[in-house]
Amino acid sequence: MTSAFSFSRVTAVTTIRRLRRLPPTGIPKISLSQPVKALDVVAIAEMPNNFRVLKLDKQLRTEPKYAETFMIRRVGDMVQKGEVLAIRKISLGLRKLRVVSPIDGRIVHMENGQVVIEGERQRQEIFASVPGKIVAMEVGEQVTVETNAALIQIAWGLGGLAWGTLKLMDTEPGLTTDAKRFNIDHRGSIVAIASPLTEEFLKGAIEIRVKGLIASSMHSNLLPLLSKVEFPVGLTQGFGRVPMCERILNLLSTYNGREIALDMTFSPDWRDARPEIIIPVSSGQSSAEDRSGDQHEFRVGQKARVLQPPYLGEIGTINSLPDDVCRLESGLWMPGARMQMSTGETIFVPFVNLEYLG
Amino acid sequence: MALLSSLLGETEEASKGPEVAGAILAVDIGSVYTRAVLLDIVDGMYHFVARGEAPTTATPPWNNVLEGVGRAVQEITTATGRQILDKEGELIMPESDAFLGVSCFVATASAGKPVRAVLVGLMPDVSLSSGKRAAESSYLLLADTISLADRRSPEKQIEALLKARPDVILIVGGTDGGAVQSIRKQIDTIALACELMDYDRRPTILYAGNRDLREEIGTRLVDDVGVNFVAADNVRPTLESEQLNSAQTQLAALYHRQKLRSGGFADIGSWSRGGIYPTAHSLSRAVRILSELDNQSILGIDLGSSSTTIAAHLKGTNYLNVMGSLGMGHGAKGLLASKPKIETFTRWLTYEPDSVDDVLDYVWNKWLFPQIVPATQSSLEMEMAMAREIIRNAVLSARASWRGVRPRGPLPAFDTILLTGSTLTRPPHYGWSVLVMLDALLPFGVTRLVADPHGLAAVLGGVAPFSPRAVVQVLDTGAFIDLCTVISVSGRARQGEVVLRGKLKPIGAGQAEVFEVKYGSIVRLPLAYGEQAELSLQARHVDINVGGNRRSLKIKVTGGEVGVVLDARGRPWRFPRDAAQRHSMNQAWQQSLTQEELS
Repeated sequence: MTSAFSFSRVTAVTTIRRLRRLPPTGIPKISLSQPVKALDVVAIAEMPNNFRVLKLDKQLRTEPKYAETFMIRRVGDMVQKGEVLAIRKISLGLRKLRVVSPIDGRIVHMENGQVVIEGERQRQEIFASVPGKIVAMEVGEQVTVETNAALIQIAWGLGGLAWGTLKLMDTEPGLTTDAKRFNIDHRGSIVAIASPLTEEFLKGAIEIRVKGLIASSMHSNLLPLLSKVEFPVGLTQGFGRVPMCERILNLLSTYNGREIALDMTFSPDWRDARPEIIIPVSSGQSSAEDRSGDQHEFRVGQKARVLQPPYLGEIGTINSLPDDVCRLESGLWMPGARMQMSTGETIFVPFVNLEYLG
Repeated sequence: MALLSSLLGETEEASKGPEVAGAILAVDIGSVYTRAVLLDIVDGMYHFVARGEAPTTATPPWNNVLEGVGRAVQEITTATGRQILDKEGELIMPESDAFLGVSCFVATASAGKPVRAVLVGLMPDVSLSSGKRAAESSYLLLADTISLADRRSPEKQIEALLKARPDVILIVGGTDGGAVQSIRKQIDTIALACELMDYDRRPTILYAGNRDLREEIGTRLVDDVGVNFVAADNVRPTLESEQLNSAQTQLAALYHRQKLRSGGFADIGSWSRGGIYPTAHSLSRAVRILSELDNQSILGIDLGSSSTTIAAHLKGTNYLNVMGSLGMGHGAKGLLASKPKIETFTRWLTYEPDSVDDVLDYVWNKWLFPQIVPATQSSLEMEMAMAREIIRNAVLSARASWRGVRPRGPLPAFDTILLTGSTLTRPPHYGWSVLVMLDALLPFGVTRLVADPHGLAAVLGGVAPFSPRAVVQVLDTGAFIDLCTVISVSGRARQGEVVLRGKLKPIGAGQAEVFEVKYGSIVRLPLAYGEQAELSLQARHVDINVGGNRRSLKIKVTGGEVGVVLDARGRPWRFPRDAAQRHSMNQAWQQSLTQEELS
């Protein structure tokens, strides 16, 4: 078995399509073939919010089945706070019982002596997330954006979307980047470092007000601090203290100073998508992104990402695919590949610890 | 066979129809692995013939489990020469001859999105806790809970129901013949919330509350609101009794319906007479069958990537608990939910990590890359430390539902512990499986440990309604691997003091071996796989037996992969504070159980 267990892309130029899933009430705000920028709103959805349930029968002192007959407004009507919704005359018509709306909103339901008023809906905007053109859209389902771009799918991300100029602070992979190197040029840009993220560096990024941050790795003890950060943060390798792999660093170096999109909307409970760095490229040859899922068998000569320490996140080349299982230092016998790493070292990595790079 | 059929007592559609007589293909779609198993009749008896395995393809870029199933089945075809899928990837059924097609197909699954659920009940400590236990039998994500203790206004509860976007609302509450007004009020809220949802996105309502209201609520919700309504027996018919089976079966059926909407599951479901069953449900059924057949109490533990399942059969009652967000991969983050102290993990290591961060980083990386296996000795120890803590937490949580068992304290006596899930069943050495179980569960007395490396337990649970004969015969022909019989002592003595003296005499030929065991140690007695021996033990300062004579024991034992194991660490035991001492203790236990050859 040489099948891959996980799959990601790190590629210089490719044509990518990104689906933006819409809530059930999502309405596209663009047209087919329309060019869009990363932070353009492609759809809006109005989410139900702030309901009020009025017990007509109690307020009008009647049976539930008669309550609706006293209503002077109907389902679907817009109503204002304080507006009278129902009136019942009692005491031979000398007194009136009134039901008034407690909020501005719309009557959405009336049944069994109860009226439901829905307040102002919460507006949710769905962004394009990548610059490109709209190639498909479906009300209440999805909008598809297509673009030519360099694509780097990374290990982990948090904090949503960002669009800005890439400012790479390192020229080679390392274990430290001095936080004192921040300057005013970094304000409003997406900063990338080829070393692990530290608390000091993160505080520097917050202070200088970057738009986004890309690092090779970080210790998980920084997570509580990250939850308070207002910009997206991505890790190319994973958790721990490992430098950025050369292939990703080279790609970031190539596009240093360019506008990039950082999509860190990582699904919390289900892996629908990987966090990714998208760098739009207007020229050059591109190949269509392979999303078919066909095959994905490891082959000799192919690049693959190693997912085990000490090479966590490193990209190597498959040298050979031994027919037999091999013994790991842990004592496990596993099928796998011999990998040539950028250091020149050749190591055996089980297929389960390798990520297919498409 | 009649015995098994009757003890199964299945009423599901799946079991209707003639018993299968021919090759059976069963697939189990897990979060990481898709496994296929072929059972066939050889010399008049069902045998486990072949298995195939492939990565599960439920996630991008595949988004279709059919691909992984196809690859796993192809491995069986390669091994046996039997063509099971045609060129279009369709199942060949019925079987034409010994090399073409199968007579029956069974599918179980734990992969994919869990069913989103909202639990509605009355009292948190009564109906709601029973409802939670019923929900724990399947892969459910409890998005919200509404009860009488809920201080939110009805409006806020409606908003919460709309935000939760549930696939199912499980309503429990009220004893049979008890008060009805509170439930009616809750139904009002649910009905209103459902009215406000888009018609085609309204959840299924599963009602398992006061029986007297079943018809009234069904009529109201179906006729007035237009939702799909399913009724089950009241999970809490009286304050003192709990019956979860009916609700659990209905949840399993809902899981099947939900799965059919995911990529590839509809095809798989159409091949199977019984649809797609939750793996946990099938494991529970297998544990029950094994218990009834051998008249034993059995604890089944499935340590998966996304979830951990505890299926127990104790004092004639079946219990099933799925810890939906606690596992070795996708569920690794669940281990950190209670913010455990770092010592919880490091106490199991033979080395001091470079930094405490390394330990937590390991867990987070397991969550990021759920399929990875430990490549180094240090990562293997971390992996096994995680496994111990997950199992410990899962069993602790599950035992809250075991009747007559204290929530904490010694594990009730189980005759057999069945281990499934690749971490436990495919370690570098089976001694690791034994050590992890002993550390996590601290069993006392005599326990048999059995591993299920081929994932057959869930498969057999799935096959049972169609062919009880296949289940019995496959179990008879050795479906599982015997790890060892372990005898654990309780009590305290001085470290290094001899607390056990004994003799192991092989039945038939062979010399009796006399031995002594020191307090604080684990000893592995050599007894080849399947070989039987008479074991006599005399204890000093410690107890050795659950009932009867607590200081001596004479039993017949059968050798497993790890021989026979004596755990003389006492119950309870504590780690020394000194790190070096702790490391050397862990090293000694590891060595005694994981050495390559029997001494």
